[in-house]
Amino acid sequence: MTRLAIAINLDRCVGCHTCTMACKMQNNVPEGLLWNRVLTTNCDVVDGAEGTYPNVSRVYTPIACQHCQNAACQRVCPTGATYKDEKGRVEIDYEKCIGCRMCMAACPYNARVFNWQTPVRTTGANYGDAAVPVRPKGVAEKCTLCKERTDNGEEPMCVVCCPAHARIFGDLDDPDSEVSRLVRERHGYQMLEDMGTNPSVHYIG
Amino acid sequence: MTDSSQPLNRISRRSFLKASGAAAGILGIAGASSVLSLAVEQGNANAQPSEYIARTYHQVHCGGMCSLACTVRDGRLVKVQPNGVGNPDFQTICLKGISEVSHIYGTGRVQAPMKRTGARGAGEFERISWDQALDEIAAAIKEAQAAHGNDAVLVMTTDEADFGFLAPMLGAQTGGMSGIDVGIGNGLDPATGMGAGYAMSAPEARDWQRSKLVLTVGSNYCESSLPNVFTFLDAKEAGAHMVTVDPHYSTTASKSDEWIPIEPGTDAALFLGMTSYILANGLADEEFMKLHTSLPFLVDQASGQLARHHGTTAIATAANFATDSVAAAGELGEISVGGSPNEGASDGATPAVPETGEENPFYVIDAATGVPMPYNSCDNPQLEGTITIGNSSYATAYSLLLDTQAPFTTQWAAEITGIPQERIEALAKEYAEGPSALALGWGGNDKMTNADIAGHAAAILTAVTGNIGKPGAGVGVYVGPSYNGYSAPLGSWALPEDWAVASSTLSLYDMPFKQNNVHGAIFCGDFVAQHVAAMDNLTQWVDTLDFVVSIDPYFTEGAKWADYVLPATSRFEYDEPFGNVKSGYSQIVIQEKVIDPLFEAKTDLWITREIAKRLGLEAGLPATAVERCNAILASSAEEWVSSLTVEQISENGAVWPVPDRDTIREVVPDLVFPTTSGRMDVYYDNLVEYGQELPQWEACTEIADEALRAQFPLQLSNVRTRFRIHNQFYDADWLQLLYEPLIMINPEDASARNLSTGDVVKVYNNRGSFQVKVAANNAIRPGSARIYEAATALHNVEGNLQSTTNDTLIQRGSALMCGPVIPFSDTLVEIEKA
Repeated sequence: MTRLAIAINLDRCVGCHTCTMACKMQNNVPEGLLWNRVLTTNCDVVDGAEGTYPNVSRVYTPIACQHCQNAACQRVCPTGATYKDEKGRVEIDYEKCIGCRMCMAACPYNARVFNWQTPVRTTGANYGDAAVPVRPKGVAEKCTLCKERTDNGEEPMCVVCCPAHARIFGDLDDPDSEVSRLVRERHGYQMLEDMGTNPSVHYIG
Repeated sequence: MTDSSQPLNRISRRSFLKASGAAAGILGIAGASSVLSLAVEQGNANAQPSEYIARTYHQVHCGGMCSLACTVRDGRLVKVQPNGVGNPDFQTICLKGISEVSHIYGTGRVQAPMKRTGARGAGEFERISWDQALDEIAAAIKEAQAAHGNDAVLVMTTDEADFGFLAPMLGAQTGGMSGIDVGIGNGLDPATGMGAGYAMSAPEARDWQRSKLVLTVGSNYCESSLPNVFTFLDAKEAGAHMVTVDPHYSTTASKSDEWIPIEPGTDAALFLGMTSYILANGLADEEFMKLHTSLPFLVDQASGQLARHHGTTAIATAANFATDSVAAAGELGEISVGGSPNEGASDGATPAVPETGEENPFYVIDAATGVPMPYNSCDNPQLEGTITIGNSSYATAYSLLLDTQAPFTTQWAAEITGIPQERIEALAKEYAEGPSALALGWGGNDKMTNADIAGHAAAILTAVTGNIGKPGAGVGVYVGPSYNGYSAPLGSWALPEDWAVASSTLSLYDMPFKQNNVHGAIFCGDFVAQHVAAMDNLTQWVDTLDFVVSIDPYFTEGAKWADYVLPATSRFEYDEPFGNVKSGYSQIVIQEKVIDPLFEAKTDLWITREIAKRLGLEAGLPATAVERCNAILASSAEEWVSSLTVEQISENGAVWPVPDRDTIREVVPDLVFPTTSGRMDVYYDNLVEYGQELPQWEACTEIADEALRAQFPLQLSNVRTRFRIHNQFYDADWLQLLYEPLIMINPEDASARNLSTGDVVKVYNNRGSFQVKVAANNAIRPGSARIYEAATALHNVEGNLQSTTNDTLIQRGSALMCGPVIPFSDTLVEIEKA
């Protein structure tokens, strides 16, 4: 079996949002929407700090679809638009999506966004990978683990562009892959593990 | 508790919900303001239907020079990725490069030539044709130069703008000293002979992997050197102890093993305190001090000048040195003072070309004999000592240092810096042990009146510990891979012999206040709003000029004061297959044409040639950019470059690696410094009249002014950010998703003023005011405010940050290597709800 995944090394993440931008570009994500965000954990301002000066700390947490093995979004999807594919990715069949947004309510990571309106792009044209489907008004969308790239054996764009080399892509079902090794050796963990969603995305640090 | 349970406590589902979608930024999506009323034009007449990839380098000013692989579809830029060959570490990118996919089509672009219709500064323009613009500009240049001489024209171009031919072509002034980024370098670089006044004397940051301590002071490397931030993280993983000293909990501080908060503007006191501790506790590297620094050199105690072999001011004769060892050194005549390259015009007897230490030796006391000897004939000089020769008494620079350091105890430094005494002492011990890197920056104490003292104190700290010229050790600015990696020895286009820039007797920052011959100005880049403090003085002066031209891909705040605003192409647009060749991160990088020029924008060379044509000067310029590219390569002094063509580099992937670049670039591994003596020349006898021949503590002029501080209690740091390069990218709509101009203050300062995050505030002092939103942030030092530089009226709620910044130039500024630094952050303000 194959279980494609990303491990994010929070010790290395510098909160630069390059992954956010790389994802937006590659996947033609329209104005007002992002598939991939970087949170300054427990802060209400970007680059804020927890604690009181000078006893402060800060953790940047990049968040996108966690590609759960037990995906809450999939279970509540009434049309089967959200599905688990053969490589372990959670994907959306936009043709089948009826815009009910049950998936958005179910996702504990708030990873999905919705095209409330006809998508607008400030550049006036589509950008990114030509193979990425253009989503219409009224469908949900999210990180696909760069399906169009990873199907061709390429790494997701957020991994390619990360200046901190904080993101590692690979197959969790291959014990010799770098991502498996890192998760094993660096005690990788899953976000909101108690939700029972069993994400493929792992965090380190 | 297992590792996997930690995140349950660290982050809650609510956290994800709170910061959803695009509203992750502090205040959601910022509105893009622009004075331009012209509509965004879509597409391009010559659109190519197919998809292809072309490569260009990105911005210079961050030091990134990232080569980008750009996907073009239907004639439009749709994707950028890191480009390169070989070692992937040299294939870099950051969010700014990616944002170009939208930015270059954005509302910030100047779309057509524009002529001013309203008052200067009002930002009112009408669209005109290129011919009209160029004809009128050429006529204005001719008129000004005919009436007042060639230097009646001022041409200033940033590194980012490829308009290097304009100034020599016109024989124009170029604005003199910059006053920017030279604060630390002014004090550090005379000692190392490196850095060019910008403290760029460090090895490349990959060297940190070999350091035991990386001490970052006043630099936010993890933001300002983002494309190669991996070097910082690699060093940390390799076991280097990463310690960052910063008033604020910067990104770099948060990624370090330890953050040491410091009172703003007191970096010099930290270095002085560390040095005292090292000297007092036997932690210094005596061998290094004796053989590789000027610390054993004799100084005439009456004049404070270093003793030399010969010169015009004789103070002792050969007879005084009648010993065998001296005779062996040969031709000893009079010992004299002076001759330092830094002495400048204050001593008319100083040779125009300073003599090297070889030609005119300095003197040391031989430890074995107690006799003065030329330093280059003595391998065991006395560090501490005094000697009287005739009527003159001399002391070693080291002895003088012990005296000048006496008041700068760690207890004293603790009081000044706010860092606990024990921490300073432990840090000094760890630094001295080494190998240690001292990573300095341009965004912290560099922008304060006492920056040169901090730089000089850093030089002394380095010199007494020998933390330079060996693996893992270094001092200076490590930011910017293309600055610190291997540079490619490119040649240049050969200009006609009679083309030369006019001497700049005055610097831009002085022009509002001193008589000058500037009657017209061409600015390529935002000089008006970015290059001086208290900008309202400058704009008043600019308003007196006969003509002002702005050439830039984007409309800038400074362009509001221009009579003509010309649209240049971005890095992605050209009208030939190749635009230019540059030195990047240890590789040659080239600009391929990615797309056709957008809107009515024209290339640098086209604009330059069209102005030249109207002045009868075009014969001196390359006919094509491809010709320029190949001339730059062919005229290189090194064969591996001169044998290349731009076409070959293109075939190779649009980059050409510097040979052996996988070897970490070191500086002075042989410990031969490019200074007068060949050593670290840490004693500055040209600064004797200012009492700074050895670093003496001096507080900042404005922020340490208690009376003024009672009125304006907050020190205003204006610093760099990952979201911008100076004023660039404020108009990039994708980056506006992440950040809009705001001033950050500590929550206690916010609540004292009844302010909440998101409030619009007025920031003001006696010089001026501006309005932005405020964010309460525990990362900010109480008593300070922090804002990212280049916040202008184009994107602020109102007004310019630069209206408030401090333009006071220190008295010793003219004696410093690069002239005075503009103390942008030695600024006090008060904040209130707008």
